[in-house]
Amino acid sequence: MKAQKLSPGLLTALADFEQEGAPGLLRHAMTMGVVPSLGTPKPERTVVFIECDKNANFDDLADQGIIINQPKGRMRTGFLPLESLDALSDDKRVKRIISSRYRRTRMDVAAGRVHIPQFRNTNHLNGQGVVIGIVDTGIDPRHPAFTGRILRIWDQTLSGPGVAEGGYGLELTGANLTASRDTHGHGTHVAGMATGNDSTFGGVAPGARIVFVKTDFQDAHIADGVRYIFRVARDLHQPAVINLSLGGHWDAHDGTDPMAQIITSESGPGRIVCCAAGNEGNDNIHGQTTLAANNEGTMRFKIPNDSIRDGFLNGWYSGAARLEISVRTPGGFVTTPQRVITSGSATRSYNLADARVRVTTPRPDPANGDLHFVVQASGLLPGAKAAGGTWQLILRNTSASKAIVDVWAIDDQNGTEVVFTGSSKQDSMKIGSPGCAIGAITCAAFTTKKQWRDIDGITRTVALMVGDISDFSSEGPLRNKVDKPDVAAPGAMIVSALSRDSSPQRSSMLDGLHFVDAGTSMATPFIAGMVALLLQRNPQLDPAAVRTLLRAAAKIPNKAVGTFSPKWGFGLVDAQRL
Amino acid sequence: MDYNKLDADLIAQLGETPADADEKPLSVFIHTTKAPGPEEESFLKKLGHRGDIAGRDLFTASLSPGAIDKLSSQPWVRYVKLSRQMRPLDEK
Repeated sequence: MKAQKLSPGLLTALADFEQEGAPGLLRHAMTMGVVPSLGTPKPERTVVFIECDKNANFDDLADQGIIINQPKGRMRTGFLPLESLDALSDDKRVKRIISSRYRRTRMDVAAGRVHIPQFRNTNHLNGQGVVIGIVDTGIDPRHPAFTGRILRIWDQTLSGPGVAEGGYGLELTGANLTASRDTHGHGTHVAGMATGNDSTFGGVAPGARIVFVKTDFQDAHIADGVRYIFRVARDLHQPAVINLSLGGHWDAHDGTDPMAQIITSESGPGRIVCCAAGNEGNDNIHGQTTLAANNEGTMRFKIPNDSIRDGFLNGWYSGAARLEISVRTPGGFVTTPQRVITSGSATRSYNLADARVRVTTPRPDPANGDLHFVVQASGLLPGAKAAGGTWQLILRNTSASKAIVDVWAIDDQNGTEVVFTGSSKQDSMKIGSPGCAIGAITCAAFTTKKQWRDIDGITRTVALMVGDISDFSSEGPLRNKVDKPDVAAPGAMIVSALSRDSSPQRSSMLDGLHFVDAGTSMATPFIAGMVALLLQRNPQLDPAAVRTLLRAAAKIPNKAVGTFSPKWGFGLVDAQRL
Repeated sequence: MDYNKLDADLIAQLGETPADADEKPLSVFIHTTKAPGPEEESFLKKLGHRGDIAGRDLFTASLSPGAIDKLSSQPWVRYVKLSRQMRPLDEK
């Protein structure tokens, strides 16, 4: 038995069958295609998907009771005795055996909630003739939802000569696509929502072709990926929409950071970028204080005791203001007030009794004319993390007019650690780059589902309000008061494609091909898919036209069309109104 | 090093000591006053830049601190900013 070839659902059913016999299969018969033999002379059988060599002939298996329904193809269906799984999994022609699951006869609730099927059917649209570009953790090129539609993958994490947009990574096409893997699973899920071809959990634009950039998540390389996808689409003479379900908070939150600038400058007629708003709706990552002329203010922030890294703060204020910045540690020790440093390195380190603090205060940023400071809090010894507890950022305004200071705590791959406390915390301006790109369509998340049945048949429920904006969705507007997010789309809980190289928790897996996830990451490919449909209808649409169409088709419940909210943007898009 | 052309993140990354040409390269964005011509492109290549700039005044590179030092002193360089790590935006 080669257990690694069997999907988790099949393995579970097999284990229950081996332990309990036919009664053990009953709990699986509710959700998957297993046929217990109770009261009959026939063996226990199951309906499966079989991934195999394209031209393999399985006629020789008939005498084991194995029925393969198609004579050819990489993914076939079959009906076979459970006891034959042992031999079938050992067969070299067979790559993978996946349990068949009972499906509802309609699209999953998310697409229906915003009338995607009606919009597609009425207008005869499926995204054909449009490139959907995705920059993300990778895509599973063997997933049946994408069969024959992935044109290229630029895998920035593999060694190679790179592409014209960057001399690093490896470009893959054709049979070589499988050299790139999505071990995280996020990118495959996102791709499935935008363009997956699946009878139950299908994507919005299943006729589109895919150009994928598996990125290392450096924003410089994400920007290179955007340029790469648009160039490939241009060479194909096709319009393109790019999905960016990623972000961070190192920027000025006004669209002037380099990645946002590149997104805006590369966008144009037939070239649209959709970005996630962020998931910090429940996290106090933003603090704001208004300092009167010649006055001092304090912003409190907390570093957890079990912090696994340095604490970083990213602060911005008007270039016309003059501030002195100091930091107070949990032990009460304070750094020397630091002004803008105009000569030499603008960074200073302070070795206090209980922490090492580095403060950087350069001249105004040439992109927006504002002043920027960075605070890094560390432990005293090299590699030691910052002391847990309540810290203070002490700001003294030495100018003759008031100063508004916005500061963001920096998150990383592990999520949010440092948060603001007290009066300075603000539930606003939490859309970082690239969601703040002025030329991008920025997407908030709406909840359409909070319950699902997992691969083990257990019903799972999360604490979200169905029919409402998802509480985790980050709030706008931008620091320069630009209205963002633009619109909302279904982002929780969304079922989509599962990468076979990823290892999600079983509680989020529905079967061997699908899992459930949530985030503005999930809302964004909904909008990207809609944009692909719009580009199929009119390949010359530019970002302003797309934004106008989407905003006009969006609505916040009980508000007039055109009403903006920092949480909803202009509301949930209804595809029927596009 | 012309620190006035570096952003706060890059300055903080480089620290207070002079740049060492042999240190690990950093991913950066380079904004120039205009799209680099052949002379500027040749200069960038000598510093280790790879990739097609194609008439752009904002592009990316992977450069050592020593190369950033040399680059920042060029009059046609407007600013150099550190590339930052982003993350996927699901709720895992």
